[in-house]
Amino acid sequence: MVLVVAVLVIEDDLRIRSSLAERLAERGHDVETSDRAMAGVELALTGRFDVVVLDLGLPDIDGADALRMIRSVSTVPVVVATARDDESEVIRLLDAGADDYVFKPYSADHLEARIRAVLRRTAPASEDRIVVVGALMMDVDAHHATLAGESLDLTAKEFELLAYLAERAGKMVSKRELLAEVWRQPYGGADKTVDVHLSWLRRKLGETAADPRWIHTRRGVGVKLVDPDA
Amino acid sequence: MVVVSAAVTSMVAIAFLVPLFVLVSDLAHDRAVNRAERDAEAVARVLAVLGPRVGVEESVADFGEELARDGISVIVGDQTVLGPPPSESEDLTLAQGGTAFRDDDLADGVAVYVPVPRTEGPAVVVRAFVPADDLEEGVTRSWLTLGGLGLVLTVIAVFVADRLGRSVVRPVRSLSTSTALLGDGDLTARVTPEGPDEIREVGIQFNRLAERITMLLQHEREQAADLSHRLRTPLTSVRLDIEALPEGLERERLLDDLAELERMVTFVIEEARRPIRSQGATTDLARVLRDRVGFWRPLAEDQGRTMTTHIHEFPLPIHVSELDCAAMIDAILGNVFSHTTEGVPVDVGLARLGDTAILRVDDGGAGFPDAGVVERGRSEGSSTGLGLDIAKRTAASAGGSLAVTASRRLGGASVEIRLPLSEHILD
Repeated sequence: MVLVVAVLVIEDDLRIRSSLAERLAERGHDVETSDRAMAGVELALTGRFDVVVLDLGLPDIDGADALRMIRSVSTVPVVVATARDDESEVIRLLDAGADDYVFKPYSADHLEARIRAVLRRTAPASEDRIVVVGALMMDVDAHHATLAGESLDLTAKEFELLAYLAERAGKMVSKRELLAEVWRQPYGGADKTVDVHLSWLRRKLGETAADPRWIHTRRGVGVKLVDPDA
Repeated sequence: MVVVSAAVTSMVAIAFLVPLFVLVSDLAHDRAVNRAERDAEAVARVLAVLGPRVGVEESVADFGEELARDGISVIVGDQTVLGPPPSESEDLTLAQGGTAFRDDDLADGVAVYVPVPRTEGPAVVVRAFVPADDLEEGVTRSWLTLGGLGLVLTVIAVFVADRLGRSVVRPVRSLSTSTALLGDGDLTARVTPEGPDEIREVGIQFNRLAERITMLLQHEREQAADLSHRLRTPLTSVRLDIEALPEGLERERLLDDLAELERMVTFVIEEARRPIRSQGATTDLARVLRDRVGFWRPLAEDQGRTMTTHIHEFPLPIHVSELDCAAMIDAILGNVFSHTTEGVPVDVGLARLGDTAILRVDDGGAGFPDAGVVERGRSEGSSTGLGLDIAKRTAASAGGSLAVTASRRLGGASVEIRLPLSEHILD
């Protein structure tokens, strides 16, 4: 199902603004743009948009201030685009009311995926955030997972990784996608980061790579989570 | 310092004591001679008054013993001597002629002659003799007192000079140590300004210099990071444009090149973000290594690799923050997993050699094509070598080094990091 989204892009860089508008429009979305924060905030508050993509480096006012202005009167989901990928910046943005964020340089696919994720999370009749794959049950909001009723002791990244795979159970997911979505490092990141976390997940799910049950990898393609008892 | 102080104060003491010794000796001599002169003149005055009336012998008869005790004799003419007789070598002619004089050249002392003129015949001579011992009376005691005083003063001077010297030398030493630390890249090196004003001022200026260097470096890094952050905006634009190109080899190639460029920018930002000061952080390399090996072990098992370890069982503290230490180890281990095929064995060793920790990671893979892998961007193939470059920089920042060789143990590559151990004792 193609989801048509009304997107407002607030971005001062002309090339990014026009390219992004084009890419998102190609995907069937309704896109409007603004090159100034104040004008963008006014547009955002019209209520015509499903989501706002807000660049932080705007010439008139600071992006975080624009975000606070939007948030003070509107609940429209906001995805912030920032060049600074440090933790303190992320915390600052989430505190200011961002629903999600992408680090520059991002691709249109990556941004669209984040928009979809934000809309899923903020939908009024939000789907159940309990993900069940066979004996594996994950409460995504509570960050709690159980296997056959036994609580799984997972690190934050392991939980995110398993939740991402569980939400796409049975589908092959590329490691690049995992780096982009779970680690938010679409083009960088250590090659073996995903592999080593998958190995740990296997241990905790009680299997090995030689005898996989839940996690199946295919070299050069990706990885998928399956219910071994299905 | 003590020797110099002792030499200087001893010389000063000697310079004062030698003239004092001579002076004391002269004073004792003069005092004895003056007393003899006074005594002789007193007797002469008595004789001059009483002599003509009662005769010389009668004049001194009452106090003959006292005169003898004081070494005074009275010579009348050539024959009569009242009191101790003069020695044969003494010539009284001059005194008998009416001239008072003193003979310093006698063998056993000094004699003073005072004439008492008579109406007829040679003058009566009052002779006062001072024996050599009396000439030096009290000199030895005075010399000993002065010498003792000089010695005490010398000891006190050495002590004070030593304390003063130390108050100068200690801050200079501290300054020298801190300068060496700063020179070795420890930007936390500071001194506590102390000692004389000039040295205290040098200490204050040193601290200012260190602050300034840190600030400049911080500023440079912030600029590098800021510039790199700004590069991400045009990179986003380029990426969106490339993605708009029709599918094909050209598009893939451009995306690959762009990804490489983005990795470089990320690397610059991460490097700039690394704290300049380690804040004196110390990490137990052995503990972090065991922890990181534990982290990678499941992947090694999944890939059918044997992962052997020989890790020093006691703490090996190094001057690196725990985060950097873990990143350094992950970079080396991640490098093995990325660049060798599954099943290739890995060996991790950590040993202590004197005050150096030696961390070695060997693998049984094909080995490095050349040592350029540790120079950023110089490696062959898909790797940028960035991982090892990070490890190399971390090692260098802690005063250590990274070397890449062929593994003697497993036949593949061997990465060896040498790090100086911190003197800080871990709890």
